[in-house]
Amino acid sequence: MLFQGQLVNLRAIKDEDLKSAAEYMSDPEIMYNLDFDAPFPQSLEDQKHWMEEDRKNHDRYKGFNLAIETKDGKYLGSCGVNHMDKKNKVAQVGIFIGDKEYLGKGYGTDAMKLLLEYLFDEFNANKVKLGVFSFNKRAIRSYEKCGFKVEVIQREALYRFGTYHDVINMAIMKEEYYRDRGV
Amino acid sequence: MLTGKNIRLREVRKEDLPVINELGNEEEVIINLTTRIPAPTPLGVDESWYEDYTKKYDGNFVQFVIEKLDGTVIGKCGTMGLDWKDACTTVWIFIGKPENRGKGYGTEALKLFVDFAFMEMNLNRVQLLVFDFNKRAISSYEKVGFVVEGIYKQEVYRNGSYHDVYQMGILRKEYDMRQRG
Repeated sequence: MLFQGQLVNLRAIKDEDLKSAAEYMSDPEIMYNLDFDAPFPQSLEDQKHWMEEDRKNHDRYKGFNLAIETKDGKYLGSCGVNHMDKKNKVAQVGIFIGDKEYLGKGYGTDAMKLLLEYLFDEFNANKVKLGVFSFNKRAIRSYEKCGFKVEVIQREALYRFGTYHDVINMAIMKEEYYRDRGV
Repeated sequence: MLTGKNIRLREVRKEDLPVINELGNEEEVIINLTTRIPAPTPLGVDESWYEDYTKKYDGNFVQFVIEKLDGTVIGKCGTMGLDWKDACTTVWIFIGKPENRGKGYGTEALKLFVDFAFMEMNLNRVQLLVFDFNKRAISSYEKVGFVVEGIYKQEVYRNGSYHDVYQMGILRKEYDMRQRG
């Protein structure tokens, strides 16, 4: 069923998620994998401000964010579309699991599968793509499990830990998605 | 610094806008440059861009008009996003009229721009995107030293079907090696 996975559900982000979100996003170990920007501590106020701005965006076809929660309702992080190229039907997605206890256990993979189902079945995307830093091996494995393939390696496109790293661009096409799902 | 053998790069002037609009609206330019619906851009859009550009100008954003040494404006180039922390920028370029294409003007302009990016802007990487059907541009970029890093499959719908987009890039160390010959 839409938004209902094996391990997680996707739902709207609530005000009470913001405290955890601020904690997750203040954790350098989480942010190193997530953002081109240097890690920078986030306050609850930053998160509230972000939430207000996000709620002003009523055009779901431009982009959106959904909360990822466990089956017993614990907020783990979020996933969504950062940019939707409407004419070319390309969705650029992002995801993060902020609670480190839940990393490497399939929660993110499950959430990404739900997001892919939503984008291909309901948004008529022709392609879903994402960028991942070369040192984030766990994420790359997870994306591969979801059917993403490496398309482009942008050499030395990120500066982190005192040196340049490659940015890996992965994608899954509509055709591949339905073939793998057996539709 | 910004003057080559046949062309120079210079600032965008208000009086250039009608010419730039006309060059940018050449069908071959639109088809090869934008992923959006390939419809011509109204002059007013360029004028409000210019107003915004000059108002916000802080010297950290680069756009140049490309002119021949006799002062004829033939195209434009610039950056799309400047990422200082990662020392990377995305560059775009176009030459408007058919009679000015295939003469090496674009290659010369891009070479000047890449020199500027590495020598003056202190960047580590310059990248660009080009559609698979734009063979002339790909060979021009290769002459400047860009290499194809990968192919984004089916990212632009044009002329009835999806086309691939090439990611090209040049790194500072590669640039230095080329300079040494």
